[in-house]
Amino acid sequence: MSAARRRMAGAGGAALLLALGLAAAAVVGAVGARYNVRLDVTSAGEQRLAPRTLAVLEQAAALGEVEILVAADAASLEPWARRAVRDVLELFEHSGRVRAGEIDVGSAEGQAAYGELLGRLIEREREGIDLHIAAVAAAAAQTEAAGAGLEQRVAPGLLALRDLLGEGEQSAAVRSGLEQWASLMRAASARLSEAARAARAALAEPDAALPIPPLERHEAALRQAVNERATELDALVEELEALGGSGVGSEGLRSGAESLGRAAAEIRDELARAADGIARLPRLDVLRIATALGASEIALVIGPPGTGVAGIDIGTLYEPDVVASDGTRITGDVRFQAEELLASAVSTVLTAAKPIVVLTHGESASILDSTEYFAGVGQRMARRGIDLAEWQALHEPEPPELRELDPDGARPRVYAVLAPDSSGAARSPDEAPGPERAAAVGRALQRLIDDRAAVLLSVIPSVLPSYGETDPVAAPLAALGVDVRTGVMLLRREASARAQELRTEFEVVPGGGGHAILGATSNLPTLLSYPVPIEWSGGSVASVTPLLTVEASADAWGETQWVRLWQTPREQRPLLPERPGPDEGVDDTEGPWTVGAAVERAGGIARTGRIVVVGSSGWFFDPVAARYQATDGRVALAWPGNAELFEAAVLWLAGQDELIAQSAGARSTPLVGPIEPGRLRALRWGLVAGLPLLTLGVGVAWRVVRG
Amino acid sequence: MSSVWAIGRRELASMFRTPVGWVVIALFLLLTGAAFSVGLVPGQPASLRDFFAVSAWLLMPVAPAVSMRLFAEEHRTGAIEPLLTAPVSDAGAVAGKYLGAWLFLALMVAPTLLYPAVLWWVADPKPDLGQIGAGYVSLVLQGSLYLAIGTAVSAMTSSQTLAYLATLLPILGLLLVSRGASDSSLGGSGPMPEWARRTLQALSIPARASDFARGIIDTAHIAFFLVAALWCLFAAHAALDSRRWR
Repeated sequence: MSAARRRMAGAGGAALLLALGLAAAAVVGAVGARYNVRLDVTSAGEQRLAPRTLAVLEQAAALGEVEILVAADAASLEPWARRAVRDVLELFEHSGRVRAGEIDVGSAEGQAAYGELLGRLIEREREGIDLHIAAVAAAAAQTEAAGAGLEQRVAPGLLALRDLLGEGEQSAAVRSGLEQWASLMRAASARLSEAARAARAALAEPDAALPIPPLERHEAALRQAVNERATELDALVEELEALGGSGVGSEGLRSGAESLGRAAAEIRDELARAADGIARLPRLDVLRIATALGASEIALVIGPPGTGVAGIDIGTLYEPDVVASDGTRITGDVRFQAEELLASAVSTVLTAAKPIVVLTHGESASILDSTEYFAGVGQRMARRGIDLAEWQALHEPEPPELRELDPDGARPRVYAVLAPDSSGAARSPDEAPGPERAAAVGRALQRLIDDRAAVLLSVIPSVLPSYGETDPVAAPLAALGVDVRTGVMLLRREASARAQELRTEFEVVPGGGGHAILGATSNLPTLLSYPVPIEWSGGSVASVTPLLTVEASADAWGETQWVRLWQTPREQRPLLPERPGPDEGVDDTEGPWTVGAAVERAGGIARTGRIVVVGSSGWFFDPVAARYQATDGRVALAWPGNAELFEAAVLWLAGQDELIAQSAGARSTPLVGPIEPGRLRALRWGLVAGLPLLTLGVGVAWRVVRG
Repeated sequence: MSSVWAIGRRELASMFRTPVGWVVIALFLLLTGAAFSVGLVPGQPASLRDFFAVSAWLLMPVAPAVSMRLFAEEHRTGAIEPLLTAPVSDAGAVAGKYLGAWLFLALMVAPTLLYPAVLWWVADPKPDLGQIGAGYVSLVLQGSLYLAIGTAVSAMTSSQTLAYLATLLPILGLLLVSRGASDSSLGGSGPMPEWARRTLQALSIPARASDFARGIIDTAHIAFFLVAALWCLFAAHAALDSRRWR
């Protein structure tokens, strides 16, 4: 064989072998990619989505394609926060159930992508937008016609009535009144015309940032102007009717007043129709989040056609503020907060009928506005689309109708009934004493149970059983075979450096048996204060599942003589001369004790007939459930089980069992703890310069030794 | 096997015979130390992701510098002939040289284990060892691939400079290919056809490294690095073998 042929054969053989090798590598790579296994090797499961998130995404996948897009200027974000959110987006994307991605609106490419996204959003709701435009145009025309009517008929009519008045003191007052009304009607006419003009102009000029008119803003302005004029006209109609029915002036004046009153009423009704036409328009998501969309920085969750679009403020996503236990605001865990927010937004988009939690209480004043107790829990619920309302049972015998929150009555309602302190006296002359408040709450609870409403009952130790009376809050459950022993308070002794101290707080453990709620709360620290035991008899009326248990211990017991302890301020309790202790035969020393239970009545009809009883009060209020700890820089919920229990109980009571799962907020990320500046500087220098110098030193030594 | 080990040990020792080996390690530690220290801020997440990101980029110039002399030097000095006639197969020679370079890289990365120790000391709760371990796996896999590319290139030339540059270019390509492939805006349709985008994504190293850095070990990523490295070593073997018929 010649050299040239040998070379050719060799080269050909090598090329063939390399090609075969490449093909084999490609096949192995493709097979590896097709049948890959992704292992999350983080100890905290950081790269796994929370069970609740997965449940929500499962639901999303069943309904159609859901998109999650985060539009933000990357340059303005903290790199680590951006990375944390990106991690979450990738996890969502990898779940295979939704599509998730980012748009960097700081780049030209991102701006183009964002423009394309806006176009898609608007096209998706084009029909609704056209409906809004037509409705605003019609309302503007009605408003203008009404304004013209005021100017041309009502104001001159009022002056004509004035001219019919005779002399006299009474007539002078009426004359002055009519003149004022005429001026007011002319001004009202001008305002209505102005509002109509502004609305028409807005329809013609799209928003600077969005290619659609700023409909919501102008609809609100038009409605406000129309409603204000309608109110004025209402007052005028009343006055004219009064004038028509009075003995003032001539018969012609009175009949003229009646006639003008009817004309004014017609215009008023026309205005009311115009306002109503706008109010009845379906709320469009793209309009609701138009301001944020216009600002180009928003996280969007876009549901399948026929569902909604939800927006999340970028600041909330990348810099979630939480309130620490010492009251300071600190930045929360971006990774888990982002997952929470996005999962909640997906859930909001997909589930139209979000529950309303009605706080049912016996206080004299509203408690819902108390930022001390409900700011955090309200915010958490709002993220999930759940609204909080209240029923002041002391003043209102009937549950609130909640038309604003639920105009068509389609949303499930969960009544969170809060037992009052029946031992408490009235704190002011306006307030009712404890027994009266307890009775009011008891009546409300009985009404709810009779109606088979969904009830989350939080009880509190009551003095009434120790006086031989029935606790009105516990009594309605007795008919279901559930005995909430409010006459007993669980206590425990704890040895401290000085002495044995009495504790009224218990970290509870999950009850036995499988229950949907336990899926969200298991293994999470949960705290109950002043817990009372719950017992039940096996009957056919309801099935009871224990949710929370206080474990049996030699140092824990159910105290029956607790009133003095209860009435003594916490800081003075160590000074009590005769502190309670377990008395055989008197107290309940046989643990464990169930302190939370789920009750489900048989034969569920349209309403769930479900009840959750927790033998403690205040367990889902902010001071416990939304209490964050910043220990050495780490931010986490102090008692994540409380928040999860509340949410899971609400969802179970609302019949939305499929959404019950542990949320991402129950986990946390390790953070660098506090380091003294001097030590940090030394550490950095040691790492940056120390290691390389040490390496060079070893090298020199090596050379010296080895020669 | 013993001959492979012997070649590997001799190769490793040769790297420490001159100051260059020590300086390369010192420079690597200087830069990675700086990257790690910048992220060491109280209240910030305790993670080594910045360190792993910087290290992955540093491997790009370092690995070719380590691998460029593996065979090119032997070609230039003529020492390749004794090597090929020695009682060791071509595959054994390639494996031995590669092992030596790989051990050097391992020794270079080893001191950085001090960083997780520091993190363990300052973080609360303790940092995630799983995530850190995955990061190191990623670093080793990337280094292994880069060295394999360098071994193949070095077997084809007698110029160390050419070997360095010819190794750098494909590594750079693998690192930058993700830029062309990334199309983070969903629904956006770039000028690139879908199949091309998918192919580029399949070759992208940063996307794979990102998974490791987050604590995800994907068997597809491991398969990619191992298969690609093996193919490069196979190419190196073919290059050596070509001397017999050239």
